[in-house]
Amino acid sequence: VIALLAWLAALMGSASEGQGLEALPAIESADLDAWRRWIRPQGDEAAFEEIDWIADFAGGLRAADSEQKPLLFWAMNGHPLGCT
Amino acid sequence: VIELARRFVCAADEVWRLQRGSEADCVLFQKMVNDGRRITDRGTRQGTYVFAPGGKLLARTSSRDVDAFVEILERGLAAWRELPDADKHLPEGLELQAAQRWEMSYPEGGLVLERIARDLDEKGLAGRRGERWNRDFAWFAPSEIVLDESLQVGESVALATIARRLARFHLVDNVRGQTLPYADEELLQCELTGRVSARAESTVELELEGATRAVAQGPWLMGANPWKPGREIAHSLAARLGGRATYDLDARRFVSFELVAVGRREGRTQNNARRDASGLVAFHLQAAPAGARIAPTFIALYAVDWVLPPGVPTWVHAPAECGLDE
Repeated sequence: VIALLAWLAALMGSASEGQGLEALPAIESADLDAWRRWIRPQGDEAAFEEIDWIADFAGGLRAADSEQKPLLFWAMNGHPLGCT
Repeated sequence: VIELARRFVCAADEVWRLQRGSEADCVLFQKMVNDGRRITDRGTRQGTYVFAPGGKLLARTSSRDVDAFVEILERGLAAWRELPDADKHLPEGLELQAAQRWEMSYPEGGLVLERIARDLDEKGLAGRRGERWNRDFAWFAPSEIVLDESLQVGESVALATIARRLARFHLVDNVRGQTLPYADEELLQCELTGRVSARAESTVELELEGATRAVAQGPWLMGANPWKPGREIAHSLAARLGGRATYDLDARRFVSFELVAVGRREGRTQNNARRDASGLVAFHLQAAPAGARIAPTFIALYAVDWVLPPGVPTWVHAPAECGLDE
C-alpha cells in the first residue's frame, strides 16, 4: 500500500510539474528572430496568399459583376483568412 | 490552382453568418447553394464554390484534394462560358451592403495583431517544426493601449488589458481548427509587463515578459452563444511570454509589437481535429498588415463597448429563433 501511495504521489507530482510554467522555455530577446521564422508560415505554407482574396462574399460578388468574371468563393466555419 | 484562380474573382468569408443570417448577402448565398431556398437545416455549407454574379451556382466542392479542386475550377470556367450574358450580372437593384459585420468594429488607431499558432515538440526550437498552423487576429481599441507618458528607462508598465484579452481569446490551441476561449474567471495567472529599455523623445522601447495560465473545468461560464459546448470540457493552457515593442507616447500607439508565447495545452476542446490531450503550442504575434481587417475569432465574446454586435440576428439551433421561418 505504501509503495502504491508513493507511486501515486510521484505520478501526481509529475503531472502538476508538467503543467507548470517552469517547465516551459523562457523567451529570450536574442531568440525572437528564430521563433518568428519557426512559427510563422514559410514558403509554400502560405501559397494561397498569392491570390488577391476579397474578404467578404458581397464584395466578391460586386467585383465579379464589375470585372465580368466568375466568382471563386471559399467559405469556412471561421474566416478562411483568419482562424478556420 | 493559383494560375487557374487568376481567371476568377476570388473571395473568402465566414460561412456561419451567410448560411444562417437574414441580410441580403446571406439570403442570396443561401438561395445560390440551396436550390433557390433559404437554408433551414444545420448542415454546414463549408466548401469552395464557383458562382456567377447573377446567382447561378456553377460548381462546388468540399474536397481539399488538388485534382478535385482543379476539376471544379475548370468546370466552373466552362459553365461560365456557356452562361447567357444576363446571368453574368448582379440582379438589378440588389443592395448587398451588410448592415453590420464584426469587421465594422475594426479599431482604427488601436493595436491590431496577427497571431500565428504552431505545434511545438518538447525540444522547442531544436525539435521538429510542426506542419500545422493557424491564424487569428487580436484587436485593441486606442483607449485600451494608452501608456503613461512619464515612463523612463528602467521602469515597467503592466499591460493588463492586452494580457487578459490574449490569455482568454488568443493564446488558445486552435492549431488543428477552431477551439474554445476562456472566461475571465478561468484565468489563474495573467501577467504581461513592458520594461522600458530605451527612450528617445516620445518613443519608448519595451522589453515584454509575462506568463498566463487559463484553466476551464466545470460549467461553461460565457453565457448562451454559438460557442457554448454541448457538455463540460476541461482544458487548460499555461504559457510564458516574451517579446519587444516600440510605443509612441505622443501618438499613443504602438509603432511595433512582437510577442512570442510558448504554452502547454492540456485536455481537449471541440470543433477541431486535435486528437492528443497534451502538448506544446508556440504563438507569434505581430502588428497585422494594414489591409488585414479579418475580425478576431472570438470577437463576439470580447464584451467591450467599441465592438458593435450584428444588428440582424442569425439563428443558432433553429430558424424560428429569429422568426426566419416566416
